[in-house]
Amino acid sequence: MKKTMIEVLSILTTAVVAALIFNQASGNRIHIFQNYEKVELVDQEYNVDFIDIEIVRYYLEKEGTIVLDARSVEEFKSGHIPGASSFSINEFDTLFKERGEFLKLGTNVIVYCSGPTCEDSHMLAIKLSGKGIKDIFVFKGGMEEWIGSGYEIAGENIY
Amino acid sequence: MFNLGNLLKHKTVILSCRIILGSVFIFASIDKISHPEAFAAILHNYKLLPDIFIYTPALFLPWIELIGGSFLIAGIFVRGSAYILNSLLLIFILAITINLNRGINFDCGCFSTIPGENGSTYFLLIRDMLLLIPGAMIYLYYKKDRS
Repeated sequence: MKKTMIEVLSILTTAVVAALIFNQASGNRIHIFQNYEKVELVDQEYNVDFIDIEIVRYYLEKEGTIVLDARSVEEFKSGHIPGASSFSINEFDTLFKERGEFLKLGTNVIVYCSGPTCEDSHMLAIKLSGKGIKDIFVFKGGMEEWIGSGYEIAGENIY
Repeated sequence: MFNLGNLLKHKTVILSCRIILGSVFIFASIDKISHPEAFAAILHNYKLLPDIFIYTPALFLPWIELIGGSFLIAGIFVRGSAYILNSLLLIFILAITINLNRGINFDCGCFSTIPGENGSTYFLLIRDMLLLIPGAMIYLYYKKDRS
């Protein structure tokens, strides 16, 4: 066991040294003692844009707008934006098989999650973009901003 | 007479286990080493670590996978490598299980830092559990003079 522990320490030391050298030489250097800062994963490469709450309300009035809630079904059931469908990112493959063709019919697809710091909407947007869905918008404020603005909240219906 | 115990300890079987497990971890590490920021975003999305402890594992974890996997295949510090990779698998299984229980949606970042390229969460859980089998076999049965 002692020999294994020495091996473990040797491997960890090698990995740490290699990582530090690579990080120092790399163009993608990260600062390990800093607080995490959110990376904006969504950009033009993925055909995805951010929109604010008033634009969401504007699009909700328009025909052909599809709103997707990237949170879990349980969170969705506890309250969501009226007209939104549950599209939990955890069940993406299954849900896309069921509703992918329908999503392609939408003129605008808006995605959101629990609030400005959650990343599920970003990830859902990128996944949808990767599947060929066009005109995807991320509502960054999510449910937190929606509730904070005092707009109507819908209940149970998943679809 | 056929003896399962002897078969599991056979040097060819152990060598195959080393190649399979080592390759999986080497393959898993490449994209994460190339995109540490994206891997940090995935770790953050697990919602298990405070913000101050996101970048440290994002930098070191892929290198531990790469060195551990490489050493396992090359026959250097084999039991130590198996110990580390088995520990990582247990940590991944624990993290995925906690988030499944909490109902948190996340992308595992196991093989790719691109969201959506890692398969369903239950599949990931089962895959990690299955990978523990060759890991345990190497740790228990590897003998330097036989492999």
